[in-house]
Formats: sequence, structure tokens, C-alpha cells
Amino acid sequence: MDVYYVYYYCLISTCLIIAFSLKKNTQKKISYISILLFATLIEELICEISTKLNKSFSWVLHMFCIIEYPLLCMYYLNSSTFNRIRNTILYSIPVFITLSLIISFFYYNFQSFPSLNIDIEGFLLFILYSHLLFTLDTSIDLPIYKYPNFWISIGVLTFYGGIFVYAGLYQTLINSTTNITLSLFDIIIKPLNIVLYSCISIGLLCLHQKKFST
Amino acid sequence: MLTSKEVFNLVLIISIFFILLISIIIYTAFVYHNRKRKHQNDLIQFQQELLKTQLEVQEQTMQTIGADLHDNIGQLLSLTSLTLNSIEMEDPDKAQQKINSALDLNSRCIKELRLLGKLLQGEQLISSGLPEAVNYEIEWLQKAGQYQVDYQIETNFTASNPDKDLLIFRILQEILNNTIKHAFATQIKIKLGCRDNNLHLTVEDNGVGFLMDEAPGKHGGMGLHNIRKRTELMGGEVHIQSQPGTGTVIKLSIPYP
Repeated sequence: MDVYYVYYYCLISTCLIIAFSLKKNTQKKISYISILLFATLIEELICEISTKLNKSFSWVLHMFCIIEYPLLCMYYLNSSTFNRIRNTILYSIPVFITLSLIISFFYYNFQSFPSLNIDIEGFLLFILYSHLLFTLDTSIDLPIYKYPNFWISIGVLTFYGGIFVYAGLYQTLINSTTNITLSLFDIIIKPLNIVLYSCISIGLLCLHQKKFST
Repeated sequence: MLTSKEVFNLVLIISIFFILLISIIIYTAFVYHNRKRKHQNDLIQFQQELLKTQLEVQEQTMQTIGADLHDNIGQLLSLTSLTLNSIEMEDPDKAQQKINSALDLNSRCIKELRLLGKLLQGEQLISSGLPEAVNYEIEWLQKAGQYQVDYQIETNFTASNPDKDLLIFRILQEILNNTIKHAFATQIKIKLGCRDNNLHLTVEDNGVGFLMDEAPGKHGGMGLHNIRKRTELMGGEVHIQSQPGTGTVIKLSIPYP
């Protein structure tokens, strides 16, 4: 197995362990992160196994989209103090799931890479997590980099902002220039994955520190 | 039609551009939160300084009252008691003189007590305006007879900020304390005005002056330090001009209200 994948799976597993160790005594939002990390691990394993067996794994990515968005939305709702658009975000979850399933079934037939689904999801999460980043409820005692939501927001923004173009053009690129697409995957997606889960692990460690200092 | 290499470069550059934009957003959020934290810190410091100033003003007033009760009123009452004790009923004329004397001392005592009462009110007068509070402080200063105080106030002083009024009043008290203790002055000029959303306070004396690097006495040094600190806390500036033999001029400019 590639060194990158070893490091990647270890990083996700570490995040999961930290999340489980916090789950008992902290807020509900950690459960959403735990489920997301668990789902990510399962998704990556299925993709890995499918690749080895020369089978298509696009359907996993379609399913992952409709799991990831609600979990990140629920994390945002549990972290943000902005109540005005709470209902809008809650209603957006079933709307997104329905829309994503319609696009996956009628447009992609669960066969191709879900470019549109990921771009729509990314756009919506970008708005939510930018808002969360600017409305962090900070106190004068702690610098901003000690807040878990700071790191999780950075991770989500960097990941979805960075993959937006690549994900959107993936199908076009893979059909015309497979080698270029795979090179771009190595240059863009792999580092962004590491950044995302590193930020989540730092965020969870900040929560760990907060728990032991109070 | 774009070549593979061009497509590769284009997608890479656009993705890097997006990541750079996100970095700018993150940096902006970081700076915004740091400034917010600093602002909250400044507010807390201001409130703490305000509380400290309130206690100092009260302490100063109590000290003045205590000193006056002991030095002035206590002496007057003792003298009254002595005078009344020394009355001899056998000599009516002398007795009448002594009674008149005792009555006179009593009147002076009542007058002093009324002035003390005004001093206590003076502290509360801050809430009804800085110029009035300064006026009472100056009246008290002039009572000793040692100082000729010229107090000028601009007629359009209509603005008010109770929190800043207290801090400015305390700064003035600090300046006057320094003048009394170290300047050996006979004349004090005080100018108070408000223009262009700035309060201007000038205190000038004809005392001995001092070298700025050698602020007289440990307490004088601390007094000047407090004046600067409190002025800067309100976002203002203080200019101190002094030379040995030429007196001292202290000018404050503070955003107001």
C-alpha cells in the first residue's frame, strides 16, 4: 500500500479514537464528527477494495455525499449561536438529499463521479463554515487557535474550496486525459485530504485540552 | 483546443487560486477575532480603571474630610470647649465676651462643616457635569488661601460622558495634588473646554517646575504615570511642559464625549 494511504488511514483512525474518547463527556456535535469519520473510513475501504477487484466505486461516493452534508450541517447547527437561519439549514438537509439522489440517479446513474453533487455540497458548506469561522464565540482568555471550531472550519473551507474545480471537471478530464486527471488527484486531492483530517484532529485535540483544563 | 498540459496547468492554477482566496479569508477571520479580543480586553481594563478611580476619588475625599475634621473643625471645637470652660460667672462682662467668642467659633465650625458637606456633594456632582465638579474642587483649593486659581470654562460645554468625567476629574485631582506637594506655586490656571469632539484641559502653575526625566519624588513620578495611563486609556494625549524655575503646563486632549 502507498505511504500516503497508510498515513491517511492512520490519520482518520486517530481522529476517530480522539472523537470516541471525547464522546462521553462533551457535546452532541462530537457524535456527528465521529459518525462522519467512521463513514469516511468505510467509504475509503470500500473504494480501496473495489479498485483492487476492478469494480466501480462511484456509487459509494454518491452515498457518501448524502451522508456527509447532513452530518456537517448538524455539526454547524450545534456549534453556531446564530439562530435566524436554523430552520432553513434544517430544511436544506432533506432538500439536498433529494436533489443529490435525483442527480445521482437520473444524471449519473450512480456510475460516474458525482461532480455536481460534490460542488453543490461544497458550495453550501463553504457558506456555512465561513459564517461559523467569523462568528466564533471567543473569550479573552483563549486565543482563537485554541477553539475546535476554528480548526474544523479551516479544514472544511480549505478542502471544499480546493477541490471545487477539480471535482467539477473530473468527469470531463477523466474521459479525455486519464493520466493528467490522476496526476491532478495526487497534487490536489491527496494533500487536501490530509489538511482536512489534520485540522479535524487538531480541533478534537483542542476540545480534549479544554475538557482537561476545566 | 487545449492540450493536456494546458488543461493540467489551468486546473492546477485555478485550484491554487481558490486555496489562496480561502487562505485570505482565514487570515481575515484570524485578524478580526484578535482585534475583537483586544477590544474586549481594553473594555475590561477601562472598567477596572474606572472602578479604581471611583475608589481613589472616594478615598481622596475621605482623606480631605479627615484632615479637615482633625486640623480645622477639631481645633475650633476644642477652642470652643476651652472658652466655655473658662467662663467665670462672677465677672459678667468677661463672661459675655467669652460667650460671644464661643459663638463666633461655633459659627466658624458650622461654616467649615457646610463646606465639608459641599465637598462630599462635589464627588456626586460628577454625575451632574464635569465643570461643576471641577468648580467645587477649585473652591476647596482656594479656601486654604494659598493659591490664586483662575478657572476658565468654554461656554459651549454641553457634552457629557459620566465614565470619562470621573477619570478626567481624578486626573485633575492628581495634577492638583502634585502641584500642592511639589510645585510651591501660588497661581494655578485651569482651562476646560470641549471642541471638535475633543475635551481640552490645561493646568498651568507658576511653581518651581522640574526636569521631565527626574519627576520629583516617587509619588510624583507615579502621579505622572497614572495621568498618562488614564489619558491613554481614554484614547487621549497628554503633553507636559516643565523646566526648573519656569513652572509646569499640563495639557490633556481626550476624545469626548
